[in-house]
Amino acid sequence: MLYAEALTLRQGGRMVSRDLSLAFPRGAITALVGPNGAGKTTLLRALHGEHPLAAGRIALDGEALNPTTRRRWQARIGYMPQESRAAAGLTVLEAVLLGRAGTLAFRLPEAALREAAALLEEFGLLDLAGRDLTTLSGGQRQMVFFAQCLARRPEVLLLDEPVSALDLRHQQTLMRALRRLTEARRLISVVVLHDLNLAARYADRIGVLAEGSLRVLGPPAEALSAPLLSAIYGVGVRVLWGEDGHPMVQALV
Amino acid sequence: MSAAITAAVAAHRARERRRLAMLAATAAVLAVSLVLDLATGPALLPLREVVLALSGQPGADETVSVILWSLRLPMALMALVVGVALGVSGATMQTLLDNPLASPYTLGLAAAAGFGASLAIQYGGWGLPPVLAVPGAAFLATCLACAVILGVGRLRGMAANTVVLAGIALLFLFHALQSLMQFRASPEVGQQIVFWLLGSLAKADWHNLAITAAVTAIALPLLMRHCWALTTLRLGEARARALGVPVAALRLGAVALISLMTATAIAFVGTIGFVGLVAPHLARLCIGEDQRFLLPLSGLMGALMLSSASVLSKVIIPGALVPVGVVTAVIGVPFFLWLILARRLPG
Repeated sequence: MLYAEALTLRQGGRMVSRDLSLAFPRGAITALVGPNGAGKTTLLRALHGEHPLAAGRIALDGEALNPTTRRRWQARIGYMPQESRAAAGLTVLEAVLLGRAGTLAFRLPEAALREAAALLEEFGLLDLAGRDLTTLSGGQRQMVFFAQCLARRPEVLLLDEPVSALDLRHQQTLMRALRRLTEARRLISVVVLHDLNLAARYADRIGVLAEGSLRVLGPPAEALSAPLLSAIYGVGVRVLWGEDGHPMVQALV
Repeated sequence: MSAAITAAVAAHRARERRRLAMLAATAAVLAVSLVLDLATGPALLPLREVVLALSGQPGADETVSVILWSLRLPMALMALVVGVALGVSGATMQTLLDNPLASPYTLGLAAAAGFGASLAIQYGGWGLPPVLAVPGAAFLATCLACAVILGVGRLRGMAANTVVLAGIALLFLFHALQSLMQFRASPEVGQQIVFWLLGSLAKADWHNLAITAAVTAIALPLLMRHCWALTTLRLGEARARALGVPVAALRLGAVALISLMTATAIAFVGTIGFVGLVAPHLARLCIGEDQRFLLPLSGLMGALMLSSASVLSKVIIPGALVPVGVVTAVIGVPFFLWLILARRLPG
């Protein structure tokens, strides 16, 4: 279990989150949604141990995050930031390998290479293994960075808008893989999403953030309520029920 | 395990072998350049004599042996060592600061060395002989510049832009101070300062070669330890942090190491521009971003540039030694423009 207790986060003197308390269980996907500037990315960075805590405490299975545990902490986490820049001169396979940069020896072990290639195969990207990272589309690159995250063999996945550049098919591919891996490896998965319907379809729980505070955290059917969403997004919202039992959110324009 | 995975792994290994072959080929060209460098000079020595004298076999011409061992070999080897130091420093700086224009020269380290040296040339060496005082002052000034850059950088969490801007500010400051020294100097002293600033391998002897080689030999493995972290940094600072690379600590440690290496090299040969900037770009074009190969190749390319510039510096004007710093810049500038026009610069 990953815990955040009474978290206060500041960014350049501005209060981003105040008194935030959340728990993220193993084997479940928690989606964080909310308008731009709600503090979702800052929360993820804090959970990764990158953003200093103005107040509060973060712990994973009883071990608290602090400067002395930070290195070990980060080794347990696969964090995928929004940045999707790529340098020319690195192949797709090399990029995936870099997920394990902290543990690689000077001479690459055969097993690490095979594992990286297997991850690419899992996402149907093995054909691109030798291609320069810069020649890929934004969406393909996002899939490669997801594979890179998994190459770290994480216990916790923190994904910041992992599907923002993906087409419809690849959105489903990534989210289905996330669903499968979260269950199979008992991962603690936290995903920032803008697409509420994707969150409703794949997440076990949705946390709605607005202006730095947590408005609701619960199963999709509970968290996605029309009055709350209308209030925080400032547009009329209708919640419908899909045939598969998942709520569907529609903006009324 | 599927055949496709095996094929992808094999393709990667083949790429690694190609990069090793590239390193070997560059080393071979470098060896040729070294022999040419030894053979050229006021007295053009036959290549056969050079090889014979180097191998220490009986029957070698004694004059040739003396010219080689006491004059040309230290200079030629100094070109290699300084080239390696500048090439590796440039490559690491460009990666660390995420800036294709970063090099020991553009960040003011060379200008600081120039100021230190002109100070010692102008005002004497506080009781020390000039042969110690000038490189000593150049070294200290470079370390001072590095300390200022790192100090300012640390105030802003070692943000790349802050470090680059601090370096460029120092470049202008030390250039101005250098000009002031030249302005105030008598014509003879002024000429000495200009000669130092141009950079020349003629100042090399076995002693300062040994010091430069020792510092480079210690710094290189320490930098190579970070090769995976540096490669990760090519994916951007945010992703490197996400993958657990301690970016600020890496910048602090590596810039200090590079500065030490550059300061030592520049202190003995003067300011040699463009090697630290261009050699890494050349290496990157040939070999990609895997720093396990890029750092060594940047070093070899730097050595090759400086060694071939040393050959050219002796043959361009027959009977005269053009300062090698001039040659590297004259070759370096058109080459750099070509790189920019070819749009091959990363970033």
